[in-house]
Amino acid sequence: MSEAPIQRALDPALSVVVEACAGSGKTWLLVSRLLRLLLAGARPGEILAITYTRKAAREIEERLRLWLRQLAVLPEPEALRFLTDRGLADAEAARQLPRARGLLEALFEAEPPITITTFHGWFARLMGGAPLSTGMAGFRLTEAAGPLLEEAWERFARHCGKSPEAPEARALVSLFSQIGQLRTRSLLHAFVERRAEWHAFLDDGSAGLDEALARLEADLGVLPGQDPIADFFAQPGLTANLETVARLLALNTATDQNKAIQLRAALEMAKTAKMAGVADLHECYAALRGVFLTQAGSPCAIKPSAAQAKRLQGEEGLYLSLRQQIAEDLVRVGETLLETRILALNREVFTAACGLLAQLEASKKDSRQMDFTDLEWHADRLLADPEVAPFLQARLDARYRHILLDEFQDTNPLQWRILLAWLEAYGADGSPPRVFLVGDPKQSIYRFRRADYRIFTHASGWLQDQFGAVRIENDRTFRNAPALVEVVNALFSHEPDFLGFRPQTAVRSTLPGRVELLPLVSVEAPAGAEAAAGEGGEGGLRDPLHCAPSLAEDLRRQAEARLLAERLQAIVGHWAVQGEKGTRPAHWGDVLILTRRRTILPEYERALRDAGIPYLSVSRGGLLRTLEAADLAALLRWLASPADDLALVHALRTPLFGISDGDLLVLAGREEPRWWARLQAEAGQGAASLDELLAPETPLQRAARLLARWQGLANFLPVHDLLDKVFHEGELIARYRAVVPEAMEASVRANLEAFIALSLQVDAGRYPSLPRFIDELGRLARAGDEEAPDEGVILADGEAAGRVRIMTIHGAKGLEAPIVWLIDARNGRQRRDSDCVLLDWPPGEARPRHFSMVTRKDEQGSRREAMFAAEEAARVREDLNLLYVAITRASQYFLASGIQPSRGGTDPNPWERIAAALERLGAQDGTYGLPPQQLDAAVGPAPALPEALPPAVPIGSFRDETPADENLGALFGTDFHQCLEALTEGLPTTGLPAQPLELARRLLAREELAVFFDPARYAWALNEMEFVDRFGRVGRVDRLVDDGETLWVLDYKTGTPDAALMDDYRTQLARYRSGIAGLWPGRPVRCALILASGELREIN
Amino acid sequence: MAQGAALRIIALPPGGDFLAACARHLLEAEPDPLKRASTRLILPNLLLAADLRAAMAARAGGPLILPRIQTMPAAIAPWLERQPHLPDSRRLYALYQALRAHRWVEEGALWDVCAELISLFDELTLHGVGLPENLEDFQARLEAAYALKAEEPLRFEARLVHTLWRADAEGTPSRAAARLLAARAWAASLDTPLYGVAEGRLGAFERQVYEVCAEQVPVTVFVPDRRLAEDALGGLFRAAWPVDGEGESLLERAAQVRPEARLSERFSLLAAQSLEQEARAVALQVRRWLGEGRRRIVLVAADRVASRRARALLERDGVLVEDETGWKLSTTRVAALIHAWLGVLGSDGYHRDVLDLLKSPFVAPALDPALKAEGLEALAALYARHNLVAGLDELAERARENPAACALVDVLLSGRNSLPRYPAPPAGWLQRLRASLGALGSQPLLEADGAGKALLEWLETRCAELGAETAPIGFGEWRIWLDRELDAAMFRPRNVDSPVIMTHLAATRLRRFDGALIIGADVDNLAAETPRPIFAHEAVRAELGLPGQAEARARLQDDLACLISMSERVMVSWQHLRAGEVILPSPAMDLLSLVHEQAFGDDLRRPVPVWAEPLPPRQPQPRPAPSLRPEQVPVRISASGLASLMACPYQYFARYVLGLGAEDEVSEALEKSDYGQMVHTILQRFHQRYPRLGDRPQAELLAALEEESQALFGPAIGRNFLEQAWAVRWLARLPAYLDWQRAREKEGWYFARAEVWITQEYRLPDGGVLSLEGRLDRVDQGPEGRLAVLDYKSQTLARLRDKVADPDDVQLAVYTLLRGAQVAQAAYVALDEPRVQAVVQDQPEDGARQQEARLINTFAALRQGAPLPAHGVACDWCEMRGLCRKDYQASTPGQHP
Ligand code: SF4
Repeated sequence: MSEAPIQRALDPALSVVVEACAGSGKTWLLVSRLLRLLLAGARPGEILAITYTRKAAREIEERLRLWLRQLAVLPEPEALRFLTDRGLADAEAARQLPRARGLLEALFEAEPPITITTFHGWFARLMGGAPLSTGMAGFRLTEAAGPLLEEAWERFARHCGKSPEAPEARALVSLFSQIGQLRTRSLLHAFVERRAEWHAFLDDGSAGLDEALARLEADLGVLPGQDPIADFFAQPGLTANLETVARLLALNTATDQNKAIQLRAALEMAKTAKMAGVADLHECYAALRGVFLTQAGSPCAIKPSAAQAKRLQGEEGLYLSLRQQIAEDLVRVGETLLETRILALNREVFTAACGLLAQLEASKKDSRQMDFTDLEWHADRLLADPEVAPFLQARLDARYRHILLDEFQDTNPLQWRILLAWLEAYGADGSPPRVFLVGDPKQSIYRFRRADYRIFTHASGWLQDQFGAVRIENDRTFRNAPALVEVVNALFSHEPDFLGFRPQTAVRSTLPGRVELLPLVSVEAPAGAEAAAGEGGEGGLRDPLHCAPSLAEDLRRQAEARLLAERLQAIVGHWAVQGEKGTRPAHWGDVLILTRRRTILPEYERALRDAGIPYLSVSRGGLLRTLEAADLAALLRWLASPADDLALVHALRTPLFGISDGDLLVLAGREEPRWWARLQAEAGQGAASLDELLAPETPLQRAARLLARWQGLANFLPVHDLLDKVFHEGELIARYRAVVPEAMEASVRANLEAFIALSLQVDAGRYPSLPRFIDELGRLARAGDEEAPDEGVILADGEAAGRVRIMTIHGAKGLEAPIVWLIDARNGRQRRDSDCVLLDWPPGEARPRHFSMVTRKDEQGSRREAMFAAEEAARVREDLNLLYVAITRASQYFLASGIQPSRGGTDPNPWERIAAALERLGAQDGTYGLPPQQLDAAVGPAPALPEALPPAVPIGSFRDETPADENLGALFGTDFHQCLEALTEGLPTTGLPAQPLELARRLLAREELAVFFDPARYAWALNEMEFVDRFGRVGRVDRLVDDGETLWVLDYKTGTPDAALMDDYRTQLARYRSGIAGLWPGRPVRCALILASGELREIN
Repeated sequence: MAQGAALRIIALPPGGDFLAACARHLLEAEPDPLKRASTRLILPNLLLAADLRAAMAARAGGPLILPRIQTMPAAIAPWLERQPHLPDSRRLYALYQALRAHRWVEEGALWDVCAELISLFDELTLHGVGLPENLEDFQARLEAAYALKAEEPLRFEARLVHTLWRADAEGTPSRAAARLLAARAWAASLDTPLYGVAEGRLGAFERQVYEVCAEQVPVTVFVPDRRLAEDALGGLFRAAWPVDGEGESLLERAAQVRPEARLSERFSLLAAQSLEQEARAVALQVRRWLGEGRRRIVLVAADRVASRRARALLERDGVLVEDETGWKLSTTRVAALIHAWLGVLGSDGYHRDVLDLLKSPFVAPALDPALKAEGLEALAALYARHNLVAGLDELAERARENPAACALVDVLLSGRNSLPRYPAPPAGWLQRLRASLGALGSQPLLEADGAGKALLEWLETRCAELGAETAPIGFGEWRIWLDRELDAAMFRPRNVDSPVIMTHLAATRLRRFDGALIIGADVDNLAAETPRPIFAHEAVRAELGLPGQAEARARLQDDLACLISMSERVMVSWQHLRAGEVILPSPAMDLLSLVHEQAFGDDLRRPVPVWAEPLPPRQPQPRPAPSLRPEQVPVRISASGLASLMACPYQYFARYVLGLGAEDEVSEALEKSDYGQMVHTILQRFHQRYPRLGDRPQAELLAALEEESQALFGPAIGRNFLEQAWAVRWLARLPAYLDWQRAREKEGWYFARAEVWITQEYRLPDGGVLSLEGRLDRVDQGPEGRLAVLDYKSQTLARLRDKVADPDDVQLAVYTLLRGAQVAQAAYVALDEPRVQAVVQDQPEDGARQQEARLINTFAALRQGAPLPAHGVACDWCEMRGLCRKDYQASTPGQHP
C-alpha cells in the first residue's frame, strides 16, 4: 500500500475494509490500527479484535505488546519515525508521543482489558457473562464433542427402545433399512453438526419440523399426497396416444417393432390394473420407460428420416411428436418421483435427527456442557434477544467502540449474523462503532468449517453502505519474490473461477526467486522395484519370506519421496536464501513441505529418514498415533492389566528394554501360561550360581526387575509420578535416542515428553487412576483431530531451525518459508460432498433459504441443481484458494512434484495448473526464474552448547506422616495447656475438650496452688511468657508469677515424669531460671512443675 | 482502657529491614518489660515469628521480654467457638434449598449459582458492606452502575441476589460473619495494647478487626509500604510498578533508577518452549543453587502443572520439596477411589468403572494379591466373553463359576448394600458412603494413607456439620455436590521435611530465601485475581463498595517486589509456547524487564539452559527378521494364519509363533464381525432345518429365516435399540438369499454341511509335519458328486472379485485343499448385495495346488531357518506394530532385500 491508503486504513475515525493479498502485511496493518486507536484515546476495553485462530490472536497481542514496549523507551527520533510510519503526520506524532510512551502501562492497567480473540473466544466470554435469567450459569465449554454425542445416541437408543412406535424411532429404523447404519449415522451427524443453522432455518426455533418439511416440499416441487404415476395415467387421451404410438412402432424398424410389443403388453397391463381397481401402476410405468427412455432414463434419440417417413406412411410427424411428448412426460414423472423419494428421506432424517438432537440437548443440560457449535448458537440467541443483549453487554462492560475483524474470508454465515446483530444494535443510540475488516477471499480455505468467502464481499458492501466504510485493495506483497508473483499472476489471471483476482506486484523487486515444476513420477519409473517384488516366487506366486507385498501407488509415491529427499540434499547448503542478515546458504529449517492430505505423509517421512534429513512433521492431534506414545501406552496397559500379554511383549520390545526376538522365543517356549510369569521365571534362573549372580544383569533380568518395581508403584502413584519413574529409572530418553534414526530423534523425544505432560493434563489431574487414564487415552486416540493431543513441540534451540517442516496447507496458513515444496501436486481427487447438509444461505440474509440433506450424487434430483452448482463452484474455488495459499507461502523458491495417476484422472489439479502458467510465461523445462545462486557452507546453525549438569545435592527427608499429633499423650498435653490458659485468662471455654478442662478446673481450685492462680494472692502473673536470654535463646514460660518477693517459673506437665524425664525438665527449667534472673536482676527466682494431678514439684 | 483509642498505622518500607523496623518501633513504644509482656503482637503467620524475635533481640542487644505473639485466627478461635454460626457446608445447603424452592434457575445450575452467591456474600461480609435494605434501591444502584435502564434480566438478577442475600444475612450468621462477631468479643476482652504486623496491604477483614480493637485499646499496625522504600531496589520496583498510578512516564522513572539496583547477577527471566523445558530449567537452577550452598529455596507454583513436573525431576536426584500449599483432594488416589465407586453405582456396574475400581489398592486389600489378580483377570475375561457392558447382578450371576472373581464381586455387592440410592439428607449420604467404604475394605488403608486420612476426617466433619440438615436430595445432585467439594478441599501432605519448599506467591511475604523461583509467570497464571462473574463489572463493584482490579494488581506487584528483594537469587520462568500458541509473560514481568533494560541495557531475559545428557552409542535397529529352530516352527496352520504369513511374516511370527494377540474386549455395540458371525449361525441353523428348499413356498422359508434371525438379533435389540440397524440390514437380504439358494438348487448344487472343521496333514521335505486346518462355512454337493466350498462374506462384490483374483488371498485355496479332491467350485458368497451372488474362483484345484506348493516350500524354508522379516504394507491397523518397530527403521523394507 502506498502512503495515502495506509493513512486511510489506519485512520481511527473511519470504518475500513481492506482486501489484501498474501504477504501484504495484514497483521502489521491490524496491529498498527490497534495502536492508532489507543493513541486516539480509545479505552482498551472499547476494542474488540477478532481473528481466526487463538494462535493468531496471541500473535497479534504479542506484536502489540512488543510495539508498545518499544514505543515506551525508543529514543525520540526513532519513536517519532515509528509513529509516522504508521500514518501519523509529523506534528501529530510529536504531539502524541507522550501518550504513546504510556500506552503499554495503560494497556496493562485497563479494566476491562482489550479483547483480542477468536469468534469462539468472544462467544465464550459472552456465555461467561450471561445473566442468570438466561439459564447459562455453570455451563462449561468442552472440546470433546464426541462423548456428548455418544451419550446422546445411547439415550436416543433407550428412548426408541421404550417407544418404538414414536415417529423418530420409526424414522430411524426406516433409514437403517434404506441406507444402512453407517450412512444413517453420518447423515444424522451432519445434521447435528449444522444444528445452529437448522435452528436459524426454523426462524430461530419458532417454526417446527412441519414447517421445514413444507418448505422443502415447495423447494423440491413435490405436492403432498401427489402420485405422479397415477396422474400420468390419468391424462385424458393417453391410452389413445399410446395405442397410436404402438401402431406406428409396429410399422417401423425391427427394434421398434419389438418396442411395439412391449408397449402393447404395458397397455394391457394398465387396462387390467384399472379394471381390477389396483392403484399400483408402477409396473406399467416401468414398462413404458423401457419403451420411451434409454437405460439412463433420458428420451431415446429419434430423428426424422426419409426411410422412416416412408415406413410410417405420412404419420412420421405424429409419431415423432408423440414419442417426444410422452418421453418428456415420463422423464418429468421420474424426476418428480425422485424428488418425492428425496423428500421422504429428508423427512425421515429430520424426524430422527430431531429426536437425536433432543437427547443431545438433554444430556448437555444434565452435564452442563456445551461445545463450540452450541457456543455460536447460544451467542446468537442471547444477542438476538432485545432484553438480554444490552444487559449482557453492560454486565461484561463490553460496549465496544472499535471492532477489528481479521481473516474475515473465513467467517461463516452464523458468525456474520451474530456480528450483524451486534452492529445493528448500535444503530439505535446513534453512535455506531468503527469497524475495520481485513481479509483475502483468495485465502478462504475453511469451507469444511462452514466458512463462506462470499460473506467478505457482502460484508464489505454492507459496511460501505451502513458505516460509510472505505474500501482499500492491496495487491502488493512484501513476501514473495517477483518470479513467484509472475507465476501467481500467470496462473490465477487465467482461472475463470478465480473471480476478482487482480495481478499482484512484488515490493521486494530484487529478491531472487524461482518456480520449479518437477516432471511427474510415472508408473514405469520404479519398475525395478516392482520387478523385485514380483519375482522369486514359485510358479508365479510371490514368496512371502522374501518379497514384500506391494501396491503400485506406493511405488510411485516412494519414487516421488526419494526425489524429494535427493533434491533437498542438493538444495540445502547450496541455494542462496535471503536471511535477516543478508544472503546465506539455505538450511533445513528454510524448507516447508506442503501437502493437502496428511495420510500420505509416512512415505515421505520415511524417505527423509533414509536420507538422514532432519524433519518435523507438524500435524495437530497426532501424538497418540506415534510409536513412542503407543509404547508408553502399552507399558501402562500392562501395569494396569498384568494379564495383557501383548502389551507386555510390546513393552519388552521398546527401546526401554530392547528385548530381542531371540529372547522372546525363549520366553515363548516356557510352560507358564502368562508372559509375565515366564519373564520372572526366566529372569530368576540366572541367579542359580554365584558366577551368574556376579554376572551383569541380562536385558531380561533388567526388564523383570524394573517391571516388578513399577507394578508395585502403579497402585499408589498418580500416573505422572509413575511415568516419571519409568523415564528416570528406565533411562528412557537415552535409550530411545540410541536407537531411533537421527532424523527422528528430536521428534521422538518431544513426543515422549508431550506424553508425560499429557498425564498431568488429562482432566486437570483429577481422579488419577491408571485404568481411567488408559481409558482416556483410548478415547482421545479415537477422538477427532480437534481434540486429540498434539505431538510434542521441538525446541527451537537451534533444533527447529535445523529441521524441514512438513505441514498441511491448512496448517501452514499465516506461515512463510524461503523454500516451499508442494508434494502430491498432481492429485486433484477431492472427496465430493455427500451425506451432508445442503444449505442455501445467501450472504447477508438472516437465515438460510434452504436446508436439506444430500445423499449420493445419483440421488440428488434436479430441483436443487442450482444449489449443487453453487456448492460445486465453491469447491472449485476453494481448490484454487488452496493452491494460492500454497504458492504464496514461499518467499523465494517454490517447487511442486507429483505422481502420474494410474487411471485417467481428469480432475483439474495443481500440477497441471502450474504447468499451464509456466507455459504461458514461456518457461522451459518446467522452471521459471533465474537459477538460484549457489553457495557452499555448513548446513544449519551451530547447536546450542549444552551445559554440564551440576552434581545433585540431595536434600530434605521423609518424615513419618503422623508425628506428634498422633501421640495421644502429647495431644492431651496441648489441650491441657490450652484449658489452663483459657481459664486463667477468662477466655471462653466453649469447644474445649471436656476432660482436660475438668482437670484444669480442679487444679485451679486447689488451695495449695491458689497462691499462683488467685489474683488476690499475687502481685502479677503472666501466661505463656516469651523471652530472649542473654545468649539469644528464646524461652517460653507457661506461667510466671510474682508473689511479691519471689518470681515463680511454672511449667505445666501432664503425666507423672520418671527420673530421666525429670532430668530433662531440670535442664529446661534451669535455663528458664537463668533467663528470668537475667531479666529481673536481683530478684529471687524459683521453678516448679505443676502436674495435672495438682502436685507442685519444685525444681532446684 | 481508654474508649475510642486510636488505630495507629505505621507504614514502613517493605523488604529485608521491615521486621527490624517493626521491632524497633515496638520496643520504643513498650520500654517497660512487664507491660510489654502483656501486650499482644499479631502476626500474619507464625513463620515470621522467629525472624521477628531475632530482630527484637538484636535491637535490645541483651535479654528481653517478648510480647505475646499470636496470629489473628488463633486469637479469635476461642471466641469463634462460642459464636453460634452456620458452617459453610450447611449454609450452602440452605441456599441450595432456598434457590431450588424459588425455581429461579435450572436444576443443573443450582450448585453453580449457589457457589457464586456464597462467594459474593462472603466478599460483602468481608468488606463490611451490605446491600441496600430494599430491592428498589438495590436495583436503582445497579442501573446507575451499569448505565442501563432495568430490563427484565437485570431486575431478575437483582431480585434473586437481593432475596437470597437477605435470607443469608438474616439467619444464623455465616462463618465469615461469625468471625467478625467473634473478633468483636475478643476485642472487648482486650485490656492491653495491641500490635499488629501486616505482610502487605491491610486486608478488609484485618482492617475491620483492628478498627474494632482500637475502640477498646491502643492498636498499632505496621504495614509495609513500597512508597517508603529508600533503597535502590525499592526505587527499581517503583520505576517498574509505580505505587500511585499516574505520574512520571516509564522512561523518566527508569532514568532515576540507581546503579546499585542492577539485578543482572541475581535475577533471570526464562521463556521456555515446553512444559518439560520449563521444568528442567527449574530443576537445573535448584541443583545449581544447592551446589552453591543455598538452602532456603522457594518454588512459587504459579503454574501447578509445571511445578509438579519440576518437583518430580528434583525428586529423581533426592532433592525433596516440602509442599506448603498441597493439592486438591480430587487429585489424589483416594478421590479416584470414591469417583470410581460412585461411578460403579451410578452406572450399575459399567464394566470399565468396575475394573477401574477393583484395581484400586484400596478395594479388598485383605484379599490375597494373587487371588485378587486372578479374580481381576477372570472378570475381564467374563466381561469380554459375555459382552457384558454393565449390570452388577448379571456379573454376580456369571462370576459364580470362578471363586476369585466371585470374591471380588461379593465385595462390590456388600458395598452396594451399604449405599442404597434412594434420596437422603446430605449427612445420610455421607454416612452411607462411609459405611460402603468399610464394606469395600478400604477403611484401614485409608487411615494409613495421608490423603485417605484427610478424606475420612473431611467426611466426619461434614457429617457432623450437616447432621441437622433434613431435606433429602437425590443421588445425582449429591454426587455433583461431592465432586465440587472434593475439588475445593485441599490436602497437604506433610511427609517431607526440607528447606526447599513449594508454595504460592502470597505465602512468601516477608520471608527470606536464598533462592526463589517463580514457575509459570505468564499472563494467565501470574495474574491478579479476577472477580467472580456476578458483579464483575468495575463500576458495580465500586458502587457496592468492593475493591477493584487495581487493588488486586497492586497487591501482586507488592508481593513480587517483596519476594525479589528478600531473595538472594530469583529465577522467573514461563511456558512461552503451549499447544503451538504463544503465551505472553505476566505484565508485571514485562515491565520489570523493560525498566531494567532501559536502566542497565539488560532485559533480564536469559536463554533456557540446555541440559547435557550422556548419549549412549547409537545402535540403529535393523529390520527384525527372526529365524526359528525347526522345533519352533508351528506344526499347524489355519487360513487366517496363512493370510497373516502372506501379509507379513513377522506379523505371523508374533501371532502364531509367539502366540500373541490383542485381548478380547467388551464391544459396546455389535460390530461387523459380530454381525458376520450371527449371519453364519442363522444360515447354519436355517439349512439344518431346510437342507433343500425344493418347492417349499417362499413365505414358509422366509418365515423360518426370520424366526432364526429374530432369535439371534432379538436379544441384541432388546439391549440396544440401535442394533435394529443390523437386523434390518440382514432381514432385507432374506428374499435375495432365498432366490440365490433356489437358483443354486436349480443348477444342481445342494447344501451339504455347514461349519465343518477339517484338518489336512502334510509331510515336509525334512520329514516334519504340517497340518492345515480350518472351519468351512459351507460345503455344497453338486452334480456327479462334485463339491463346492463356500464362504459367506458381507463385503462388497467388487472387493470380493478383487480378492478372488488376488493370488495372496489364500482363504478359498485353503478350503479347497482341506476339502480334498473333487472340489469343483470355490466361492465367496456376497451376502450384503441387493442380489446375493457367489463370486467363483476359476479352477480352484489348480490354484489350490499352487498355493499348496508355496505353503510347503515356505514351511520347509522356515524349518531351515529362513528369517521372518517385517515387511507388511498394511501396518496402520496391525497390532504387532509395537513389536516389529517398523516406524523406527530408516529404509523401506522390500526395497533393499
Ligand atoms: S506393522 Fe507392518 S511390518 Fe510390522 S508386523 Fe505389522 S504388518 Fe508387519
